[in-house]
Amino acid sequence: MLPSEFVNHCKGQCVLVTGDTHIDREIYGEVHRLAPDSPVPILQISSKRYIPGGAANVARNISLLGGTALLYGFFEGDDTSHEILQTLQHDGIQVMSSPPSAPFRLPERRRIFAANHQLIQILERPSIDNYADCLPSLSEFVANLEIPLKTIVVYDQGYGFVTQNLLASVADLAKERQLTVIIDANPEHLTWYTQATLYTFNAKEILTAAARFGKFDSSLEEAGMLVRDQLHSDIVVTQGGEGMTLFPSSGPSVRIPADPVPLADRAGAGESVTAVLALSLSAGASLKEAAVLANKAAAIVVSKPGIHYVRPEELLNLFHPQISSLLLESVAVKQRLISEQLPSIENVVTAIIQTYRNNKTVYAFGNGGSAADANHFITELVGRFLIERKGLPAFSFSTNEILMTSIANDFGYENTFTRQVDTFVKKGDLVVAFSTSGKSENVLRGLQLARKKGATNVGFTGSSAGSFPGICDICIRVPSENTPRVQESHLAVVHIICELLEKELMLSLPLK
Amino acid sequence: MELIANRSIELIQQFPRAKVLVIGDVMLDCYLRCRAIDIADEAPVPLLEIVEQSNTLGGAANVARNLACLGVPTQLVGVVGNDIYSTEVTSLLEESGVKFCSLPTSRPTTRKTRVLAGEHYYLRLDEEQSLGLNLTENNSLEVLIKNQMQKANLVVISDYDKGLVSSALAQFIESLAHQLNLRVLADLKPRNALHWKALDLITPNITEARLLHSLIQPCNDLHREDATIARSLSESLRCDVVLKMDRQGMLIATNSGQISQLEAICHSPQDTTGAGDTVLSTLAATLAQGAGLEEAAWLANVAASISVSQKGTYAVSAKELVEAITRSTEFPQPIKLT
Repeated sequence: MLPSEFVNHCKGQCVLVTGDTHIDREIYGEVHRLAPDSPVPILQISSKRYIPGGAANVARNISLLGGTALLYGFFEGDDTSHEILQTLQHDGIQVMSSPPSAPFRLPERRRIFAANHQLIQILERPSIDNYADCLPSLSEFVANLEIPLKTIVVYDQGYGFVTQNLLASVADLAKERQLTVIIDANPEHLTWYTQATLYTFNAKEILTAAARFGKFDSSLEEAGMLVRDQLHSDIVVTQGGEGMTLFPSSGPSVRIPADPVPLADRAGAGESVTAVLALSLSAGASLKEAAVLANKAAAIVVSKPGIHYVRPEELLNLFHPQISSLLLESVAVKQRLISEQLPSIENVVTAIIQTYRNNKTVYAFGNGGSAADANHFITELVGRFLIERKGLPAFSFSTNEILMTSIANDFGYENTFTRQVDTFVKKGDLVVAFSTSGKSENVLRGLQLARKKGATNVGFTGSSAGSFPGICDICIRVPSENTPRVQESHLAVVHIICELLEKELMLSLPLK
Repeated sequence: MELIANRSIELIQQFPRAKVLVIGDVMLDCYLRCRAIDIADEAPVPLLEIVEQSNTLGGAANVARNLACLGVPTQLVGVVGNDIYSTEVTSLLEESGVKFCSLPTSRPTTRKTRVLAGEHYYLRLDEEQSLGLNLTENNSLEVLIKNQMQKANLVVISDYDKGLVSSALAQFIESLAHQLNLRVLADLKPRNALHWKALDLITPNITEARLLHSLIQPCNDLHREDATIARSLSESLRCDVVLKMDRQGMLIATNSGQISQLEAICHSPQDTTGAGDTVLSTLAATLAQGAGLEEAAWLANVAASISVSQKGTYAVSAKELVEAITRSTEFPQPIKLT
């Protein structure tokens, strides 16, 4: 399957996420002094923000990638958990929660920053055990689903939501419905894990897991192989800046190096990896395909500061970088057009309106692609653009190939437009010339003669503009040297001019 | 000695008769006791896990708590935010027996959180918004204060420069105190001391006193003796000064130009946090009985010695004070300096 197909296949995949949700809270401040009672910094807090982390974050990642996420968790203990519940529902995630029987707070991971420098992390783990037992059962929750469920993700951070009971009901459900089960594993719960398709660990966790199976001081490779054999499942080990390693349930391990990206912040990368693995496996990807995609997603997340959610188009960009970069280039040129050329465009509209109010005619010409632009412009005027109206008198000198070749043959190509200008253009008419370089000899000659005959000259050109500025009354200079980018912008400007012109003429002056 | 002891016990027994009003910056001191469990995954910084959280009253709220603990009927006026911490402040004050007239505001409750890993004090996080109050809030505050001052025997200001006591509010309190013939004691941040014209007593520590002195008399010799500073402050502010000098005890400079010294009792303090509040509240409780400044300072010195021998912010009770006085006959006496 092509990656682009995968991204489309993510839409509609239904993944159930359960496990530990915590609050990721970032606290920012400034340090200006030391405490009077001890030489420690005093951080003056200036702002705080939080996002839901862990299971809820996996669900959000899934939902924002176009999948359907269901979340089986606990979100109604205090104000913050309630807010999180609302955020999740707003994101379109179907949440199974119920009011707690005892006061309840979500675990919290606080990152404390002085300016942009992280000082410390503080973990608050409320001492509540087995709270998952207060919820209606998982099978009840799943029983009423309208879309087919394919995958279950268990996010086990060891904060207390994941219990042996919960894992047992996940296993039952998986067996009954033939589901893929992905466990974001906690090395302290290895004995609880009986059956899953895939376990994910980070580098530190896999070494701890190997130690729990009795093997200390192992390499990552040895540890991965050992844990894989013990758990009889596929294993993915995420390795931060070094990418990931796969340990398929049989066969050798596979290294997937990280895409080299500037690291901004690793927060949230683990959850994105889990989400992408779940979605792509649901969409039918192989373990390796899924891991490659997840690795790409991680690269996107770590290159953005704070917690970032991968969007489908970002993933697609990574696989079609040339196409997206060319489109972005085209967008960038138009962006610069906005900052530089708005008055000129407005002036062209005014000049054409004046021409038509004086019952005069508009002529256009150019070579090649620019000839096409000239013809396109004239067509919009004589035919119609958006509004039903009579035709506006306009004519292109680039249309008649018999005339063009005949003049070129008899008088030279440089005179292809002068001959026509001489024949048709009268005082008060308006001439629109297209040339991305501003150097085409036949176009320049045509403009010179048109000026001599008393016409208003409008030029469409690129940033270098050639001789256009000296010979045109109004000049649209697209800020690029790249011919295709310039022509794309010319067409955009032509369309804009036609739209404004048409509206203005219809409003002010009934046309015959 | 016996005479002083008897007189002091008599004063302590009268503590419940006076009503003291505390006005100032109400704060919550939070302690996060943690253990370091790891290095964080995504950055080379320690990952701490909270083992225990506790909250104590701070600022004006701690002064009020100390007064209440001494058995003085205490009223506190201050502002808190509309958050869970204000609930915590209110319930801690209620436990301590302080009556609290709070003005809810849009700013957060002023909070200092100390992060401790084992015995190691790691970081302090301050959350506050110390801009002044808006006009409406200020007006409601003045109404509250006026009501409470009419019922009080003495006023204590505890100003940590968190925006509550503006220059205008200081003038309002002073003119009302003048009308009602109330004494005003204050523990102030130096730059705010200049808001006041007619305080009865200030209780700076030595750092604050030097800073205040340099504000009043710029370009002054920085190496002046403590006694000279105390006397000079007393003269220029026309009030009594109790200068807290940590292990050197305290200096008492009266408005009438007398100066005396009290040696510290406890020479190896456990924890001096909050001892300043104990001194201020004992002075207030004693002066409210009409006692003299030297008597009051003597008692405050005893109270301070109990407070610093305990860990954390400690409020001394009337009972402990009586016991300490009964037990020992060797508390230092004020020594007149010339």
